[in-house]
Amino acid sequence: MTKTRDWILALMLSAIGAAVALAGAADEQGAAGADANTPAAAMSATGGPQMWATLAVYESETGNRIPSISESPMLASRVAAGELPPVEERISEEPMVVLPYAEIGRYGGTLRGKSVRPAGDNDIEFMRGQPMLRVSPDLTDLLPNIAKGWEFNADKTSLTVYLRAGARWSDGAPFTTDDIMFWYEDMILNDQISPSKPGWMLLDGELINATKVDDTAVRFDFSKPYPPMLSVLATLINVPVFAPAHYVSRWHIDHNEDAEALAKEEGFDNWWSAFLFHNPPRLGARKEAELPVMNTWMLDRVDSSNNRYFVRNPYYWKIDTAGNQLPYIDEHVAVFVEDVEVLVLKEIAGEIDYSGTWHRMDNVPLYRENEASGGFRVLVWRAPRNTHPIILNSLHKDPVLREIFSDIRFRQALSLSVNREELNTTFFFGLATPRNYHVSPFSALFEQWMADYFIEYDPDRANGLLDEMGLPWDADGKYRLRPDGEPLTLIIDHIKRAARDAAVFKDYFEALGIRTITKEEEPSLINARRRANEHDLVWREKAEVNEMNMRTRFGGPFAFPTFDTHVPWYQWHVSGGQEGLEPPEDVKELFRLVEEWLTTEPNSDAYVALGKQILEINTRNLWTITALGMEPYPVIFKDTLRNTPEQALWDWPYRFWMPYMPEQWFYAE
Amino acid sequence: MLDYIARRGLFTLLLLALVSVVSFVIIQLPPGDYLSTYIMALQEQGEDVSEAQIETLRAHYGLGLPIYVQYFKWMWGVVRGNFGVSFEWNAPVAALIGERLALTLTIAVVTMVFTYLLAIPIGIYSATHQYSVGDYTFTTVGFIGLATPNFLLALILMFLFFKYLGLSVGGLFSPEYLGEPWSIGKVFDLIRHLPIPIIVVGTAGTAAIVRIMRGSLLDELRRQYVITARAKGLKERALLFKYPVRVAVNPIVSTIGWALPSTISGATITAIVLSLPTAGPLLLRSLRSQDMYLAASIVMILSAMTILGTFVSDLLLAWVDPRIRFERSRA
Amino acid sequence: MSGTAAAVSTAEVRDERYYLASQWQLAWRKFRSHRLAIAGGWVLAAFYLLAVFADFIAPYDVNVRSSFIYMPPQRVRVLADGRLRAPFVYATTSEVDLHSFARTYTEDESVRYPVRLLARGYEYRLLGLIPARIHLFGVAEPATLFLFGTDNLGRDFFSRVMLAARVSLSIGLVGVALSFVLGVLLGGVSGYYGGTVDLFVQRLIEFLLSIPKIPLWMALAAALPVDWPVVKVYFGITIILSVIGWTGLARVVRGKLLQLREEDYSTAAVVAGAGDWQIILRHLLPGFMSYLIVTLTLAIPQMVLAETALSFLGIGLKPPAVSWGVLLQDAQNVRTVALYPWLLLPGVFIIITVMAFNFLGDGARDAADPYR
Repeated sequence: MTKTRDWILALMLSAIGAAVALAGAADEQGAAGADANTPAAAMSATGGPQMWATLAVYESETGNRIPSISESPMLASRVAAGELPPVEERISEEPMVVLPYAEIGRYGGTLRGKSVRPAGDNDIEFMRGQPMLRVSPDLTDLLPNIAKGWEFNADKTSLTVYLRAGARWSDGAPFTTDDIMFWYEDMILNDQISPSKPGWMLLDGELINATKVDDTAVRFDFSKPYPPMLSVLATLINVPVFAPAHYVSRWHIDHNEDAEALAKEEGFDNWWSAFLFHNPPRLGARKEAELPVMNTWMLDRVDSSNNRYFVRNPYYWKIDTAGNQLPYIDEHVAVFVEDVEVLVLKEIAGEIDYSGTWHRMDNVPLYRENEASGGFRVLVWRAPRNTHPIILNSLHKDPVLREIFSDIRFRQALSLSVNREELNTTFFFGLATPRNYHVSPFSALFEQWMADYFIEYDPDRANGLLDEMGLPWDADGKYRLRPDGEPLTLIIDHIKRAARDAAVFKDYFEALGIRTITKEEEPSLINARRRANEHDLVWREKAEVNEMNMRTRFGGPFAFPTFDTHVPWYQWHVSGGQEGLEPPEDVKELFRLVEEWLTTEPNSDAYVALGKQILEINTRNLWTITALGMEPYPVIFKDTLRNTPEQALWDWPYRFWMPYMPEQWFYAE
Repeated sequence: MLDYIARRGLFTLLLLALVSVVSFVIIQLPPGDYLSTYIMALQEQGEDVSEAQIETLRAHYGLGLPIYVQYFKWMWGVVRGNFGVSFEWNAPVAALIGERLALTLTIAVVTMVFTYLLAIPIGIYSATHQYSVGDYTFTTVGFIGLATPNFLLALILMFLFFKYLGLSVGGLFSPEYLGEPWSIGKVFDLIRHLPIPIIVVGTAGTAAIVRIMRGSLLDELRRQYVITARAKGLKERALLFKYPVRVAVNPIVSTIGWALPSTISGATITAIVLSLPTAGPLLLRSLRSQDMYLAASIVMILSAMTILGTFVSDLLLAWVDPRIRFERSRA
Repeated sequence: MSGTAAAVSTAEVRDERYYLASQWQLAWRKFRSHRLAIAGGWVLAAFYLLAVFADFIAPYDVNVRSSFIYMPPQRVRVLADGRLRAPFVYATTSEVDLHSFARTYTEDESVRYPVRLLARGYEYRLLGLIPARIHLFGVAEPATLFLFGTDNLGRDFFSRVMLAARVSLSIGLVGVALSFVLGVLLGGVSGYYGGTVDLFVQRLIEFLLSIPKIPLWMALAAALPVDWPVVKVYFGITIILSVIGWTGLARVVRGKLLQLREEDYSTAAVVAGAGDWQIILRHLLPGFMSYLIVTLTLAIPQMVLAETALSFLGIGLKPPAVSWGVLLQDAQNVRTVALYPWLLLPGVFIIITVMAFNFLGDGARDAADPYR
């Protein structure tokens, strides 16, 4: 396993190196910081934290012994007071062992994070939430986490997941297979709680089956080979695949005959409303301090300003190589800020210790200026995603537009109209890489020609393509006319933050004679219109194209997640033709290929070949046009916060902070 | 008088009922519902949401029901003191509002007191010393306050306070008092944070009231009765406060009832910029995210406060100006 | 003898003119003596002139980008080599520091580019009619002339501020005109007749006022169709503003009427057989005209400010439309205040406009006062 990892790491590093080199000569003349701007440099320097599935594995693999377990003074005093059992009993019989990034930390401190959304930003939720498996810190591999291991059968149709013996919920109750079975039988199979089933649980319309083997082993059975199940288990963090049965079953009708009465008494309409209130389907929504979790930190209380306070989970099941129970940091607060600009002020004042979401490159000069006075560091990481996706609505209600959108030449023309070099220098200081919709360069599926497909800026050629399509100019020579004589008009609806970018795209399109209206709207209105199929195109600031996302299918219609568009095609596909609209042949072919690809073993020959084929269909059709990839992205760490990565990738498919193991961050003196 | 109160009271009740319907309908006017916001918010942060998840959520939030059913369900709860549950916060609306209303009122009342204490004397001074240096100074300063957009002033002040006074910005407390129980230090910390909102919200209001006070007092001062009184040798001070000021205050009194709610409303933008834990930002956020029970409840509570305020100010007006009491219709 | 007679008669004539002058003539005399009001009037006249000829004055198209991003206001120079010269600029080069991520601009002092009056520039329609390419001033490429610096897309901020004046300066007038008509009409009826009419109008006002403004605005704004062009949205927003704007005015009118109709001269007019509207317009309205004017002049700048507030809330005019509110909304962030303060200039324009209106109204109030 280690070998494969090294190999992929090397591949990834060289690819990033290439990407960064492509980012332009600007890097070379840049100051000292520029070289360290490659994730490769920093990652290879530290090697990243390492981890072993269990104590036993650690001791046998390294020959080291961990003679004793220590704990935070905060918990030690509670043990002394008799409120908690000794630490040896709390970390499970098989704790995970972590070698920190740089050094063994010290206990204590309060980590100050922030939240702009009332129920908590991803910033918080994806640093304390814990999935069954995890993505390795170098983003190339999957490692054990809550589960200590797994095993596929030979044809990959059955996956057994092994839990840690003696693992406990944050309230001390045993964490066993029953908690997974409760989630499966009482939540997923229950039609009141899950009126429709998660897409990743459906294979050819058939639900994945879960069976209890014993207290620490559960088996998932699939109707066909399903290797990506591992990726699913590694990325489901805020929608966990388990539930604290001992706590929540009292609100479940199958476990408590009086659940209905209990719900009424608590002011709910029915038992499942009460159940979902006490055990919300999403982690971020949890408000109750008593709901047991498996997380690093658990929500303790929320004050009247909606600041949320977390304390360490006394039953956390990870230790460092010196035998210290993780996390190092005792408490964690998510400061609630109503406004992103107030967040910026708080950041430059040094009131936030780590911050990633809501950032933009424009603010880096401001951060840099205040780094010293605020006592923090701003690091320019890279976000492997693509920027500025344009997806035309092929299902448009207007038949004329539908006809135009379905012409490949139109999409080619749009792609050629985008001046990627300008976008790069204007928005990203020239550090991003022009890239059409394609995976990032360190993916095994990456092909340079696909990334470069129709990315040149050539408005003349674009206009030629539109002329060829027979879209004549109007009398003033200002706009093109549609076949029915109306001016060809596109409405770009965008959120407030993207107004600047939208103005630029308007110019690109208008240079082709396409009348373009940019429309700033509330997110909810944009979304509502897209769902009602009243949009011309989807245009956003960013698009995630990533193997991880492709594998987990947490997305929409095509192989990749596209954004709330073309849903009827996807519905047709997942319902086996019962619902939605029948897609055109090449889309059907794509769906077929994706299903097949999902049965292949990651990084096998078939996987790479099929994956590239899927990408090629997407590329050649330009269903999604994008501008850039590998954009620079700023994150902030307090100076005194240690064991944090210098350079890394900021990416949703890997769940932002998750791979960088916040539980081993600590405060130096 | 009793009859007057009874009649006005009855209308007030009717109005309250109407407002409850309208506040619910207003929330429903923009297309979409909370879910579209929710999904968008997740995508904003780079997450994808599947159709299945959406369906689950829709059922969870009871968003499939017709509007009138939702309204009556909500109203039935409101009557019993249950304002429903906020989707976005996953918490009972009453708890959310209750926590914030106190702070909102504190800021509003302090601002109003500040405004009136400053504005009425300045108004009187400006009117009695028309075209003096003082008058011009107050006028100019007042106008600058009136002329600066609140959100701009708030942001600039916040930045300056941060840059030059090292004040922790955003919210009403410094980070060291986060989550601490109330103490002397915390109270002082709160007091240190109050000037910005009061200045920002108060400036515009002060200038407006100064202008109105000055204008009406000047009108009064030239009336026959003032001249007569002056001719009879009444002392200037006694004369001023006995009648003209009282009459000139009249239009201000008539607005005092809705001054409080409008201060709350007007403070909304400021509160957003300053990230204050008050009702205004909560309202705006709930409107944007179409968190309907929360939004409708806040709208209804603010409306009810205004209606009751107007009721009170009408009574005040009748008391200040007895002529209005004997309302009569000429036909 | 004759000399004295002449002198006397001049004085008499002056006196006589004074006594025979109509109320408006008197008002005008008084108004002229109010210096701040006159100053305000001149400022506003200048601003409205700027707005009308905005595209003639603006050297660049408002939507044209350049590579000069966040460039500070450029200096027009008159001194070179220690000698006074015709106004000129230096060409500027930009550089990005990849550590601080700051853009620095350096002037190349080797070549001077004169600022030309009546230079040729982008095409526009003068007064919306005559196609023209002549602009008040300009400078030859590769030099640039960014008097107010540039914004986040390298657009000339001076040109943007000029063009934005059109929307911002007109929206107040249109909005107040609408509210004024509604306010005086409904307030007048309500205050004068009293009784059921009064009750109805009062409850309507109360109702409108009791609904918090923001949700009302948002609901109305959501009702504006997506594909409306900028002009229609503009009028839509004016209407939104006046829907609430009129109520305040109506309350004022009503309150004053309630008071004034109890006055003896009002009763006298009734006894003399005057019609209702005649009494309201001829006898009662002048009685509180001054008060009305104060309210009105405060209402115009309030509309100007409300427009910026709408923009801030994201329910007003939106880019690519430019108004001072829209420009300020772009500037509503910490980096602008800290690093690019010139982008706050629209705020200065708003403050000056609002103050000018206030001074003007102040002068009008004093002038319209019949008792002085």
